[in-house]
Amino acid sequence: MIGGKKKKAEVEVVTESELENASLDEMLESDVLESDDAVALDENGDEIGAAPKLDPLQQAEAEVGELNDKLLRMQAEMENLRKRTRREVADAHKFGVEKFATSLLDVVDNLERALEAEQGNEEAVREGIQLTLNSWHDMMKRFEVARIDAVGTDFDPHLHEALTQMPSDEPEGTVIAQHVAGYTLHGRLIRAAKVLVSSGPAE
Amino acid sequence: MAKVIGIDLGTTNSCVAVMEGDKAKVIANSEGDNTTPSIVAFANDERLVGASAKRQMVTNPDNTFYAVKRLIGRKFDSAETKHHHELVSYPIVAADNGDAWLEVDGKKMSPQEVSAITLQKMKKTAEDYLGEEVKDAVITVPAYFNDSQRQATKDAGAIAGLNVLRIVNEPTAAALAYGLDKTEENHLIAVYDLGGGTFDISVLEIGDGVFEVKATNGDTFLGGEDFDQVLIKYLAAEFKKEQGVDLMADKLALQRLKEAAEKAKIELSSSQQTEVNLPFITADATGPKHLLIKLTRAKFEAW
Repeated sequence: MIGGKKKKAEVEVVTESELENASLDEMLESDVLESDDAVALDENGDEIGAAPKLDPLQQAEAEVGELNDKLLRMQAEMENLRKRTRREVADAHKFGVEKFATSLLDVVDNLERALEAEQGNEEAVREGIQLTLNSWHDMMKRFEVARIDAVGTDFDPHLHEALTQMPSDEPEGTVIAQHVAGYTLHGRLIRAAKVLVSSGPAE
Repeated sequence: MAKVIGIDLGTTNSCVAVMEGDKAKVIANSEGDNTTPSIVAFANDERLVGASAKRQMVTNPDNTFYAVKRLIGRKFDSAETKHHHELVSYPIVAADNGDAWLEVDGKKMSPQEVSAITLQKMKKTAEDYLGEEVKDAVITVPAYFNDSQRQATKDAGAIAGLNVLRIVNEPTAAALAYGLDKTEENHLIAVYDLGGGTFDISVLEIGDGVFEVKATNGDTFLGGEDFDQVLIKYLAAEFKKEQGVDLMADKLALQRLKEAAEKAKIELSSSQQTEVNLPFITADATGPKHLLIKLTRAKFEAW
């Protein structure tokens, strides 16, 4: 409040003594009047008051005041943003699997339906379970989970894990059986296919 | 500097956003959804808003208010109100000044007051996200809203404790979101707004960052839900042809069919074909039955 009064008086002084420099005064006046940092300005203004030529300095002070104000706002905004980002990252961890989990629920529902199905319709129940499995594969594809089927291909340690090696009619190094399929997520292996590898024809 | 929020107060869903830098950021509500159903319910002493209000709709049809936007700022004896009255389950009454109001437990309530409850939820969503109180807001309305509807929307904001800085036309907001105000010369653009239950088109003239709505029209009873209906009917008809069972008559099966149809529709936006796979959709004397139907985008578009 006091600062505000002081400011007004000062502006008047400035405008009286520096009339010739009208454009600068206008700038100053608008800066002083619009700035929320009036108090800081005044304090600086008092110091400058003694100097005969105060225009450039006062203008600079006004600018500093304005920039300081901007900086403070920016810092507050940054702090808020940091808090928000931290919360968003935490939420992403906590709820990141939400879509995946929701999709899985359809599969679970269908498995429950399969169990609830009346006895004696084995064929139809089997068909339903097959469709449920298909829907699970579709869902995995949507989440970029791809299946690796290894049988008949060359053993590749980047994708396959050899459980054992045994003689077979297939050439040496060929996968002849698969214990479980492998899977990749976004192209990165999340589980190697566990396989049996041919050691070539038996001697 | 206090943040100003932007609210899209929709007929079926509402959305709130805030500017972050030069980009608008849509804020997810406490349930993690980007949009909140514009539904308000009064159940015993409890007031429900959004998804929870929607979920209890069938058990509380008299006191669950949806699509209130179709009534806001309208007269009770207007043709629109009459049409709307035939479609909804809640009571609509005439206020002393002739406006269309609602009735909650025998008490009259304005559509503004009901909309304010949705707006309050949007305000709260923004406040939780920003970590500070929000006072100022901009709310969008259809370009065809008249002064009375705009004023009523503003009043709803005030009841919700918001200082409504501006009522902005929806097509204008859409054009702004695409940065169309940044172009130098004057030009005309058409904005299509295909919503859940309404389909609007507006022609805007833009010049020097100022938007003028030249013309606006649309179908207030056509939207994405109608596309779902077409799919549901097709799937049910196909299933009946193959299996001889009418899924439309089975409430539980129909519910699954509805969800699957919407999902298929969304999938056909990004892929050329999809499969509707609903194991154990129903059962008869011969055992469980499964629905498996392939859909192509070409076929869907040809309907």
